[in-house]
Amino acid sequence: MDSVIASGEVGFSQESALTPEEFLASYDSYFPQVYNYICYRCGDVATADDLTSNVFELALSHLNEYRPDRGSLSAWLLGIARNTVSNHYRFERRHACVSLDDGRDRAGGDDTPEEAFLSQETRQALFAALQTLDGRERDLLGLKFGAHCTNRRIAEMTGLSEANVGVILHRALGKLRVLLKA
Amino acid sequence: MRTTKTSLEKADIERKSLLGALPDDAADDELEQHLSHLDFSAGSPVRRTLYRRLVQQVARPARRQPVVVTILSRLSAVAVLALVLGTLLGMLRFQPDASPVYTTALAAPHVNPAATPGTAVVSGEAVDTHPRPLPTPLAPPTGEDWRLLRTRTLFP
Repeated sequence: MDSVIASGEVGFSQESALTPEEFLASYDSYFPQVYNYICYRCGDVATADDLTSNVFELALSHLNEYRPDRGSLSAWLLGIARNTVSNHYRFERRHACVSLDDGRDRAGGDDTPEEAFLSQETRQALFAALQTLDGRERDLLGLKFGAHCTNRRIAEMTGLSEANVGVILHRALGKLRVLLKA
Repeated sequence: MRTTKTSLEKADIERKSLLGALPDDAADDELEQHLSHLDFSAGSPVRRTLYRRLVQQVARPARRQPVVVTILSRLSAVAVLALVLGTLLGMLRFQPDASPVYTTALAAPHVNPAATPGTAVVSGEAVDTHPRPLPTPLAPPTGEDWRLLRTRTLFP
C-alpha cells in the first residue's frame, strides 16, 4: 500500500481516505519533520513535546478529514503543526525565550563528548540567534530546515510566492550569519 | 553610486539564489549545512511514548452508548417535540369567543338586576369584586401563651 517516494515522503492511494493503521505506519517518517519544525518555532523542547503530541493526536482524531487528492500527508501534518503553534502563542501570549538545554543534550546523542560539547555550544548560539528573528522567518526556517520542505512547498503552504519565500529565507540566513559571527 | 552598486549586487545575489544559480550554496555554507543536519527528535523520549499512545487510541474500540440511554434520549427528544407542537396547536385553536364572558353589572345591568356596583357577573353568577382586606397578622405570643408554647415545644 505505502510507497516511499524519493523525497522521503510516504505516498498513499489518492482514492481512499487514510486508515489509522496507515497513519501509524507513517509515524516515524513524519515525526522528525513535525518535531523539528516546532522546535524551530518554539525554541523550547518541553513545549515542542506537548505540541507535537497535540498535532499527532489531533491528526489521528480528524483522519477522516484528510484528503489525499488535496495534498500530501506531510503538508497536512505541517499545516496542523503551524496552526497548533500559532494557537499556542495566541493563547499563551508568551514568546519562546527558553533555552534549549534539554534539546541540546538530546540532539546528536551519538557524538563523542568533545563533539557533543562543540555541538551544544553551536546550537546554543544558533537558537539564541533564532529567537531574535520574527515569527515568519522562524516559520520559514522551520519549514525549510526542520521539515526539509522545498521552497515551492513552503510557498504553497504559506501562501507566499516562491520568490518571496526564497528572499525571506535568504535574508533570515544572512541575519543568522551576522548574529553567529558577532 | 557605490550604494546603487551594492543594492544591485545584493539583488543579483538574491536573484541568482532564487534562480538556482547557486544551488549548492547550502552544501558549502556551514550554517545551512548545520541547520540541515539538526535533528532534535533523535533523542526525544516523546517519540516512543507518543507512538504507544497513538497505538492505544487506534486499538481502543469506539465507545458505544448503552441502548437504554439511546432510547431514553430519543424518547425525551420526541416528548419535547410533542410538547412544543401541542402548545403551538393549542395557541392556534384558541378562540376568545368561546371563553367565559366576563361582564360587569354596570356594563350589563339587565343580566342581573340585583347586582350592585362592584359585582361582576360571570356566566350569570354574581361574584364580589370588592377588594378584600388583608388578613391581620397574628400577634406574637405574650405572657402565659409564650410560656405554654415554649413548654409544649421543648416537652411535647
